[in-house]
Amino acid sequence: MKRRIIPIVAAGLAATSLSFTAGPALADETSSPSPTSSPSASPTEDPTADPSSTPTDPGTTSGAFSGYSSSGIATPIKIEIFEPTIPIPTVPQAEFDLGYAKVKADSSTTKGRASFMWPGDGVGEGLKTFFSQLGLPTSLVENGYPVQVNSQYPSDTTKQHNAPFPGTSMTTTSGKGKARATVGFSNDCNAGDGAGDDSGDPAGGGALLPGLPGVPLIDNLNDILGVLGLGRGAAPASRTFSRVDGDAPDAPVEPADTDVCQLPAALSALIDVNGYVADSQSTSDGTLVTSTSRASLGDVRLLGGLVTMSGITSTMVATSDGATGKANGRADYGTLTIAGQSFGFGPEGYVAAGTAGAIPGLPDNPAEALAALGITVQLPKPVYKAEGDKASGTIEGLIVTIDLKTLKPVLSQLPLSTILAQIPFPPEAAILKSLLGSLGNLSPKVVIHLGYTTSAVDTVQALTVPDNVPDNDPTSEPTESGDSGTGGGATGGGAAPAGGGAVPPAEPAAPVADAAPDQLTEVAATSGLPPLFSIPGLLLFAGLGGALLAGSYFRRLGAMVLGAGGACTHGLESGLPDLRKVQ
Amino acid sequence: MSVPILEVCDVHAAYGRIEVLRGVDLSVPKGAVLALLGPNGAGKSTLTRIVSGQKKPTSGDIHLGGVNVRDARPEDLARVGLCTVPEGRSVFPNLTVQENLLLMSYAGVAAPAVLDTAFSYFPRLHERRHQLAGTMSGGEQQMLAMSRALASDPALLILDELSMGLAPLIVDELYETVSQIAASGVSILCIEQFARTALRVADYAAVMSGGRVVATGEPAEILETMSDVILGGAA
Repeated sequence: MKRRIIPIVAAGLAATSLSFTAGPALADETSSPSPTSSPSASPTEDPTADPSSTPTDPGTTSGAFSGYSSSGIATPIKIEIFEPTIPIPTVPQAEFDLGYAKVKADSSTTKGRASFMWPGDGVGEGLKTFFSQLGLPTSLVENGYPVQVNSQYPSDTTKQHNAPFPGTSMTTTSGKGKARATVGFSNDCNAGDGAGDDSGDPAGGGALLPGLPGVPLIDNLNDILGVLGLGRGAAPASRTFSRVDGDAPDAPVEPADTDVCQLPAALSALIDVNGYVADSQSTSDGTLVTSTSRASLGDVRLLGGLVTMSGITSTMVATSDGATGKANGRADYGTLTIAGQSFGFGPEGYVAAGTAGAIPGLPDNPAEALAALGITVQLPKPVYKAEGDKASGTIEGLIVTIDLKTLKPVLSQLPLSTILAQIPFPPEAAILKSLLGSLGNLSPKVVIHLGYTTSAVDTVQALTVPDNVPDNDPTSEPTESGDSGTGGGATGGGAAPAGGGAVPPAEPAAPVADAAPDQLTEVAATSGLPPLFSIPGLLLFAGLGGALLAGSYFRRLGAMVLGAGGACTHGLESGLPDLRKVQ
Repeated sequence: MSVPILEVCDVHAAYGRIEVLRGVDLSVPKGAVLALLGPNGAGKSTLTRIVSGQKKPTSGDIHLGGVNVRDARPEDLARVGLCTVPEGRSVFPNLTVQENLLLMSYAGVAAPAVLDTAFSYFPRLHERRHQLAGTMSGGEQQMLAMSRALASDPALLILDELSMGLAPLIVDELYETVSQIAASGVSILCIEQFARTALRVADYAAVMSGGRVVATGEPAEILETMSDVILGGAA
């Protein structure tokens, strides 16, 4: 029971502290009923503003649009490696997304994908090919990249959940008009079981993201958000569970267990994080299509603590009602510490050493110091695009660029060829051996995106089909109906006398006279090309024939101008000479 | 300067979608022997068929004696003095030599004149006049084919692969006859894969490769500039 209460208490604490610290670093200018309202919004605001919960039928197309498409990607940590010597035909050449939630939906299909660690589309989609090219056994990746879950509607896999190891959760669901993908990771091995048994706690759900009311919360990840350490009081570098909930005695988490859920040492030297959540979802109720992407991180430590942040949450929402598209988003930060100097972010901008400055931007001195090390920190501007009923946008919390050219002199000193020569590589792994041998030439650039979210929606309007569609086929018989006037000229006229015996006496001339104006009216309303053998058709063929004649004439005329009046282009006579008499 | 008896101007030709002649330009002066050389598949025989009216070019012009002969039929061209000895001789194997020659009288030439022309150029045919043509050697069949051509009193003789399948001594003998025919004023277009023998009797030479004429000139120039590999080796 205590274990169940811990995340709720932690969430409450986090919510209380966030209202003071997490400011709108990058807020949208347009007002919107979207989840991007004030960060100080009360936790009691409706946390269930899930568009998918509207009672309308998402499959109907009777709303403001008849079709739509939407997509959304959320990645708390996206690591891109630009190194041209890596033989992967993508740019960047390598990519690691720690937490990857992607949804893609349209009027007929919805898809979701969640992955705890996604190696980029190039490798993730084609891992089997890479294995076979590198001479590795493809049986390991027979079913594709293993750390992912996928769902699709309609299909036989509309929901998939997996927890590859303690502390992680990957869930995706797809249904009629909605798709969702969520990924969570917590280094305390407490990422929920995915059963959604925490979803019935509205207080916890509302308090976990007080800055984002209206954003549908993740049912099975409340526990994670409770331990993300979003509060100001959390030490950025701390990775202990007791720091977050303040109730360590009641949290029987053994240190040995938490070690299982830590990031690998090699990776944590570059970037370490207490936990993260990625959530993407797309919903459509027939009148409004919404794509929401959200990425949240707990305490982030870059480069062994050189840069730390006490929490990042970025959200991107794109909506369209068929007439107007809107793109809104925001990125919320806790405290940013660069080389020991803290910067708090609030409504007035950053606060460093007691002095306030404007957002965005970093003070020059730390930035210059980092630049000398090949490290650049950027606060990227949001990108919003709204054009008619189309909307898209991208929000990123922070971009850190690390240029590792400085490592090249060190790498080049490594006796890689000697080392590799002593390893008995099988012939199938020759490519792998050559790749390892080229490590000495590496000078990669690493770009880390924190809180990367992107969403896009688009809609199409239904075609207006007229009630009365005229028949443009001249070969078809006129429509038979009870109306004697629709019989057409000759046919109708001919039929009337033939059936004269059975049909009640009628004036034969009258229907023909009536039919003519009706037909003229319908033909006048006909769209497209006129019927074949009509006057425009004749004009068309006559024009083509005339152009042919004119072309031939002008060709001969040109030849005459050039002195070649004969049939031969060389100006010679045509015929059959007597070769025996040629002089 | 006299008009060339044969002039090929930018002729293109194709078999279906495969283009085999890609703009051939060639000129045979009156009374000259022109050796058209080139490797197998260069388009030499296709050019022969086009000049003799057996195949239509996709574009380009053929001029005979300064007259455009577009769309002329093969038999019409034969009547005006264009005669072709095709590749493979094409004699009637079940007829005797004399019967093969007498067939030429149907073209309007008197039978004695046909026989007289043939036996004067090739006395060996007189010895074998009663032998079935199919039982003769390849060289003798080639002589018979040339005799039939000469019986039509040609002004332009096209010899396609005269030396094909023949022993070098026979080839030399045939080309001696070719030089005699040329001396009588007949223009000759001699298609050959094997260069040296043909160049010995030619006044001019041209080399075809890949559907184009890639070199023209005097036989000595051609022999020097073109490698033996391209010309098919020493024949």
